Amino acid sequence: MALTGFLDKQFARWLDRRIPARRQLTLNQRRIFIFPSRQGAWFLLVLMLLLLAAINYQNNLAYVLTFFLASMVNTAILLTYLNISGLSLRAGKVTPVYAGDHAELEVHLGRDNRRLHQNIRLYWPGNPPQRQDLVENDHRVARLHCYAAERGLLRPGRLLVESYYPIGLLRCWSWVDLDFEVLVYPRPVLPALLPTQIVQGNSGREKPMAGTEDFWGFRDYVKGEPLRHVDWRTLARGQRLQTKVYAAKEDQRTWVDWEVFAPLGTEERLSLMCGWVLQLEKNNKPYGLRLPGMVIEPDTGDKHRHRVLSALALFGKER
Amino acid sequence: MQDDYRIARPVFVWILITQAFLLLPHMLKFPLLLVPGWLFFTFWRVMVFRGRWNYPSPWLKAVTVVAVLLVVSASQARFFAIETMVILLLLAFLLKLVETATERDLLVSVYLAYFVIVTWLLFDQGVLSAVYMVIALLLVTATLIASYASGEAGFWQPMKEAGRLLLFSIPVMVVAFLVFPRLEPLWVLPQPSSSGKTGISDTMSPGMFSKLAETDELAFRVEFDDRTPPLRALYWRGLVLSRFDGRTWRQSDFRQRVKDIRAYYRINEENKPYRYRLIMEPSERHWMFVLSGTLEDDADSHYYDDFTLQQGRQIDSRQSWQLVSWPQSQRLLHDNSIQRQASLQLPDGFNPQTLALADQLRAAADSDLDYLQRVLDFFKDNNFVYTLEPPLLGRHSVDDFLFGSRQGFCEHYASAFTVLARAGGVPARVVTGYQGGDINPYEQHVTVRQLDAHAWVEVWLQDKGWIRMDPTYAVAPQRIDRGGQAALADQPGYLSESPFSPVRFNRFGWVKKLQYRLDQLNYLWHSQILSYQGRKQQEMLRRLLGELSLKKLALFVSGAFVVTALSLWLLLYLKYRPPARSKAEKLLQRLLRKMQKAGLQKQAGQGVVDFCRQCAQEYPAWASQFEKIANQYMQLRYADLSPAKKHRLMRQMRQNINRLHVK
Repeated sequence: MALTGFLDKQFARWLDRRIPARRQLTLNQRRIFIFPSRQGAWFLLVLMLLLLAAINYQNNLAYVLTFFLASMVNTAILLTYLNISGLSLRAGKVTPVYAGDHAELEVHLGRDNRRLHQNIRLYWPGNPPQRQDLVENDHRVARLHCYAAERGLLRPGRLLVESYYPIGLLRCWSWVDLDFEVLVYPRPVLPALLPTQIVQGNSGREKPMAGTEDFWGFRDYVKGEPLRHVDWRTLARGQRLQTKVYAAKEDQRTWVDWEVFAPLGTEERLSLMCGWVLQLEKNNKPYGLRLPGMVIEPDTGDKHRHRVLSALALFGKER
Repeated sequence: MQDDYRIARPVFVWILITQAFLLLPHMLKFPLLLVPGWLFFTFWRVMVFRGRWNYPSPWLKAVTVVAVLLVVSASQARFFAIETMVILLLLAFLLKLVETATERDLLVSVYLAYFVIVTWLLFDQGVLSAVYMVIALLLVTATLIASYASGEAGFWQPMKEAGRLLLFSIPVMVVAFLVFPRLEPLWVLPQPSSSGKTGISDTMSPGMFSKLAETDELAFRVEFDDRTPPLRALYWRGLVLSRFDGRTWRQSDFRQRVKDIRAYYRINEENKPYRYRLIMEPSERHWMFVLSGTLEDDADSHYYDDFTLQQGRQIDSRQSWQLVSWPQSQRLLHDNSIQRQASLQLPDGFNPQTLALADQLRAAADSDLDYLQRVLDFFKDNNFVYTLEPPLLGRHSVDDFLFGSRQGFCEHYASAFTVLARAGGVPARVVTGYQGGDINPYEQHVTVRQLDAHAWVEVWLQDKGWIRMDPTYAVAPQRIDRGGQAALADQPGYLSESPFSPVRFNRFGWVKKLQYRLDQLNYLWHSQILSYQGRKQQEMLRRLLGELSLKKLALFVSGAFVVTALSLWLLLYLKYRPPARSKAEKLLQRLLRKMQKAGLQKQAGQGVVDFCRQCAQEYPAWASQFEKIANQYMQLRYADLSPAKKHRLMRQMRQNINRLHVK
């Protein structure tokens, strides 16, 4: 195990040197590997049987057949290589996903020649391959999927691009790193209670902030009230000292607060918070985010949601 | 098993076509088993493909396999014969496709198909079989490619790709064929059986030769070095039969192998000898068919004192010998009493009328030769008929023939004549073999078929030795003068076993010419390709490479690989190189570079007009400039312009690009 691990690491390092990560690249002989496929072994068996028949029956046509097939495999080395070489790949759009889902990543395929590229299989190891052809079109967008196990920034690593065309006896492949980064939000868990119900009773913290409240009216000054709310103009007119009254909106503002779920673990908290955000967004209510060391003012809309969810996704992760 | 896998329709169509073609020659050879088998399994597979029936369960498969084994073993005489094995393999091939439910199964079917090609080559290696092999190879490869190809490329694309693949595989194949050492068989395998092999046997009884006239199967070919003897002189001696039991002629018990056949000949040195090469088809028998007066310096051939030649081993494969024939050489001047006595023997109590006729003719004759002439005259004068379908004869077969039916084929005349000669005291014996053949004007070679089989007589005369006499000539001279094909063409039984034989249509001149051409091709095929081994291989390589060495061979082989690679790259260069960039394209590149410096890159797939519009948005000050450039580019690319106009446009476009100052 230790040895294979070591070898894997060495291979990865060698690959990084040979095919460095790039957003766009064209497959060429530096980047393409070729080797007989597993089916090639079965074919070899048939070839041996044919040769035995030719020898034992001293049959010259059987010799011709055997050599024709053997020579065909040789020619197929070149044709298999040609099917994949000249193919260019470019990293396209990615959409953030929730942990536990499959991230969708777009790979743009193109060609700089007039050759056909048939049955190109693209996938990240562990994910189902996707077939793509460049026959009639010079350009194709492959929407590939990659499983996002945990929140954070997913780097899917090297994409396997392989081809067996034309005869399947040889496998041509390349490992390309298109430098993909996918933002993975926490897996959303919908809590039983919505944040407003909890936060409203939680007074003491929500001091009004200047400029965020609306003017309501006046009332008589009561000793001890902050002087900045006194309406000095009425005093100047010789009237009784009046205080401006503001309609506090604290009750309608909702906070998705890290502290609410205090007894739970980090990931569970984040999942619950993520669930809240989705629910609040659905109800179209403004909400803010409070994380240790980070506050996002309440707002609504897709951009806001993305900001909030990104904060949740990257919380505690190194960028 | 993957339940969701389904063979794509084009692949399915390809594999059905391939299977039908692969089985075609086998179906012609074994129609009773294979035609119903093919129909049955193909129908089954189609029903499965269309979703009407399910894939067979393991139980059903087992039952099918047992049923196939039972039917095949019941219908075939020998279970372990190669024919039986081939039939079983073909049926297994069909059954395999029925149960093909996964991609892996499909590939196994296709690989098996490659092996199926060779099964036919075991039976036949003619030119047609080679054509079959190449087409089959194309079809199987197309099927294999179809299972990997994109459906977008069209139904025929796999076939084109297969053609390209095989075309570029020819150089390496040819070199491997030339160079690969031909090894001795590693172990003995069952050979295609010859139970039905037609040909001359070592006995002769009435009706046997007319049977041979029913097929046009090739018996042997002869290639003459410089000149060809006339057709009527082509008597290919095979066996000498001198023991007669009243019905059947057999070889004499007294025949002996001789060390030096030259001692038995008096060769007439004034005559130029005919040098020829005899190329016999596998006959599964020992004897060779040679002209009289034939000598050979080959240790493997045995001479007998009846001037026949035999091989020590059965002739199981096509073999050839270089021979020399001295025409008009006299045979056996020694007084060999045993042979002469044996050639006078007649069974007691048979053919009394014939013996009486012999006494009557002998009494009138003044010499042996005169007597034999009178016998021939008897045939000539009594309206004897030369026919392929003579009536059956009774116990006294010669009596019945001479005084009853008077209809016979060569064996009737040979038999009757020999009996009459012996009864008259002249040593005589029956000789069987072939007479004539097809002289191909394009090559100095003669093709002899089974329908040329013939029987004649040799008589022994004082001072002359053994002399050939042909009573058939007395009755049907056209048989000898014009050959078997011409003489027999109108006979009802002629070629009845070879209904589609081109020999049938030889009366039309062009068919005959075509036949000669085909024959010539076949001859070259056999002599150059199929017998390429051993000494021939060494000679060929020496002619190509000079004195052989390992280094030269290695260079020769690697040369083939280089040729393949180079020709393929050349094709790619010519066919697939990027189109030469037009001047408009070069100007566009200039624009793109300029915009790239300014931070605007054209996306792959983005049109030029679209890109210019984007630039115009980014740099509204230059909007009209960008619009002009896009317009000029599109005109240069797609409009049909006069050269002058084109030139002007190009200049304007260049100026427009140069004038842009974007940062």
